[in-house]
Amino acid sequence: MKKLDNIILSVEDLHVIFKTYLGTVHALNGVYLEVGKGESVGLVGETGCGKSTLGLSIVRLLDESAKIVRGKIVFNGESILEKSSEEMREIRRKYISLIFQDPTAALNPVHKIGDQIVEALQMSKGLKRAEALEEGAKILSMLGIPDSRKVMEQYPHELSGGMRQRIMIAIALSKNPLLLIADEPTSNLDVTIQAQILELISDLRKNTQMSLLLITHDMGIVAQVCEKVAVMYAGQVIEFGKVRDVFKNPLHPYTQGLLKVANLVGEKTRLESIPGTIPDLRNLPPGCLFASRCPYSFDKCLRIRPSNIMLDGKRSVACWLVEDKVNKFGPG
Amino acid sequence: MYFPIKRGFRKPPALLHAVDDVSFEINAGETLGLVGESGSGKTTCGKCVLRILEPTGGEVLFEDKNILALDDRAFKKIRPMMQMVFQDPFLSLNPRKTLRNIIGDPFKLHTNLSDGEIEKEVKRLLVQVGLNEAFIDRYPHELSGGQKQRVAIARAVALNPKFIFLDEPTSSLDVSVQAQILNLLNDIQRQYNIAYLFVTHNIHLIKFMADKLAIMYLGKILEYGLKSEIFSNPLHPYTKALFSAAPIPDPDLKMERIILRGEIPTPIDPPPGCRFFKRCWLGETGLCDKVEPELVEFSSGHFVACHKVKK
Amino acid sequence: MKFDKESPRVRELLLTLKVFGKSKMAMISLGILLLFFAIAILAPWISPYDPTETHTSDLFMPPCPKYPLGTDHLGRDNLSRILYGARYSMFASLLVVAVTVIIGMPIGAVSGYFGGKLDEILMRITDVILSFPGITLALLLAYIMGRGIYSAALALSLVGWPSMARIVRGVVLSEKGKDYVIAARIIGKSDFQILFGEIMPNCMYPVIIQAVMMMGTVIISLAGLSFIGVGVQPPEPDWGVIIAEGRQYLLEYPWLSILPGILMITVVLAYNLVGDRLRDALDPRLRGELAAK
Repeated sequence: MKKLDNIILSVEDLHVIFKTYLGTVHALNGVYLEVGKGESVGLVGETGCGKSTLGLSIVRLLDESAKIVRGKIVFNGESILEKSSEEMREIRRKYISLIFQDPTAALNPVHKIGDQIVEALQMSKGLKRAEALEEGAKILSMLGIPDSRKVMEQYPHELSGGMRQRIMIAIALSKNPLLLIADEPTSNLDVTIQAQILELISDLRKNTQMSLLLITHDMGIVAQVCEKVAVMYAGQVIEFGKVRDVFKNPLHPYTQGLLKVANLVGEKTRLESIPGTIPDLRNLPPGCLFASRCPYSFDKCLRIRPSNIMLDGKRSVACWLVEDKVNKFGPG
Repeated sequence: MYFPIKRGFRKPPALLHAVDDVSFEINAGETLGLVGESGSGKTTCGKCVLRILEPTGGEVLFEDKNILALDDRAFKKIRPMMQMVFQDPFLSLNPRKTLRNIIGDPFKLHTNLSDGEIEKEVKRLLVQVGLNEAFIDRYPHELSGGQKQRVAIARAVALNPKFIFLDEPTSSLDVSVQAQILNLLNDIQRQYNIAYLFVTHNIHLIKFMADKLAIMYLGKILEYGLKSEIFSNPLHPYTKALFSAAPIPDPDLKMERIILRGEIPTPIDPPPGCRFFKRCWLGETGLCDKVEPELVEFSSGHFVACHKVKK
Repeated sequence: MKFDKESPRVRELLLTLKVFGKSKMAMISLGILLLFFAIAILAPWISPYDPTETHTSDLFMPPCPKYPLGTDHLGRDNLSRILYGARYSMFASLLVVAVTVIIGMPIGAVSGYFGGKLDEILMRITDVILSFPGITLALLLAYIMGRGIYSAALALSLVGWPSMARIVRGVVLSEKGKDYVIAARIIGKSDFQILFGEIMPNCMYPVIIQAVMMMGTVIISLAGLSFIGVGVQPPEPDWGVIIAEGRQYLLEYPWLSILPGILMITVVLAYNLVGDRLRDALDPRLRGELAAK
């Protein structure tokens, strides 16, 4: 399928399963996602919605027990699913960067910071050691890390969580990737440090054409940092569009519920909550995966699963209610 | 009426001033929110109040009695009235015990009820926290995070406590579950008139839950007062920074974000002067780095510790 | 999430058994152990002869219809001796491990939980015991206490409890700081109630695994002590004794010593394989992966 030039990543109808001793878990059930060049897209959802799985699928770093059973992932015009592991390594080395919630896991505790940055730069840009050290120090300063020379000589455990996270970002950005996938990059950090890091990421993006896929459960972060948002539920993207549109006018009942609970109101009134629980991913119902908890579900919802109903090319929702609207009033 | 007032240091070789000269009061049926980031000492405060940690100085007055001065036996009688809900329900429930035992233990320890009577009580509590009675013979690992936390709450409420220390009770839960748990906590508070000490780093949450607030930083209270007061008129620079740092799920509200410089320092051997000086944009060299500001009453009930805040 | 109606304990047990059962080696080993236990129990009924009965006219017989495994230097039936010998190896070792657990577990638990001076003293003691080579110490103790299977067993228990205590202490130390322990304290449980009611149940798995892994060593040690002459005394047919008695005739009639030796190795190996797989089957993290394969 021909893709437009300004899309860096596109995911179509992706299905991923995990084999466990309790049965087959359907982690992703037809995901549709698009990230434009230079765009920041938030991938938001609660535990079990599959957002981390999606992130790992894109870079093909899923566990052995996982299988991609259907769908397409196209990065920079090329199909990811057809790449060999050698080619994937190349892509991960040069074009896509991944940062995680826990920087301690990503940083080698027995190597100095400087060595790790240098190694990353040598791998991605082929710099010589002296050049890499220069470059590394420059990047660290850019990230607001004082005494970058001194920091390069230190070990990860000597630094605070916020610093380590910044180092991880430094390493991730040092190769000027086309796409940065950040999986809960600030969840473990204090809120004032989080503010610093998010500010940092925003600033850095202004100067490059780097696209960002920010995976988080925090609607507040998405509202502040992202241009577009994809809301995930039970392995599907149930709503996708510009942040302003989705937040101000959420179409999917789950998104509506999520925004209500995320916006805790001032006095001791009762909070609205979403009744029920997520479906058992080993045993999916035939129709819409949210139907059992949805206040508006009707007959069709229980029989046929809605997916990726486009409403004008920039907005999509997986809900039959919307289809009715589209039919009655036309798209948009 | 409850007046916990206390102060505490903890002492490894270098002095770690976990909590330094902290005082506050909570009344029955009231929620005091203790807000701060890592190293603020908020959790230590709560643990000192419950004597999980022994403070190095100060008093904790529960119903006018200083519980720090009580011996073990006397304190054991008070224990059922002061309970706690932990942050991670996965860790706070014994994985090898059924709910029957976990919630039934307080009854076994402090009452003379028969097994049959205890079972009735446990079932009553399960229903009260929104769980099915049939869960009574389940193990914690069979429950979801939210369900586990409900069990933890049931256990805390079992013997009608007058005070509960809630240590980030919803931090490890999903947002939608969080709402359910907060509703539950409020219901229970209204029903039993319990005083809550609610520790969290989440500003939005505390705005919803608390009646009074204490903003902590590196073991000190920087601002203290009614929630409505503090939110409508935050005085301390740290409070302002904290409020602006918390991202709001509203894309139109691009707040003027105050981004603090630097890292959060450790509370080991703090330098003289205001603890917040190093990251404060209002800091006045010569004053703020030499003299520690006292908590001063700015307006009725609203206290702040800052040299740069004038009436 | 929905869960089955079956009791959770049962399901956990089934999962453990399933993972265990997936390993052919482990299952075969388990079968071997059960076989040996059966032999040990049934020895009096399945042995063709009394193991101490001498048949002076049939010395050094090779395997034949009358004596399926031949006879030894005193004309005693080898098969019967070996069958009866299994009793010592299988049961005495159980006794040793049981006593080791009975001594080691409380010591380790108390040491880990209360810490301080008590912990220091107890750990010094374990250090001292562990710094001696096990067999040598057992030898000394057994000699002092008098020869015989019971003093040998006791000696090995005294030598063995420190490692059990260490393991339990480790578990207690890591559980001690956990929230559920603090929660127990908050609802008013006393230290002993916490230690035995809350923490001990969490020690069961490591203790079981350590016990199983110890069995192999204990069997060999017991046989070794008997071999040297401090354990089971002749004419009782412990495998160690049999090997010792057959030593002089190793060149002419090797099967006298080698047969019990092979059996012993088999049992020890079986215990190790079972213990290994059991450890994997009880590990909550490995378990899920292994079950899915």
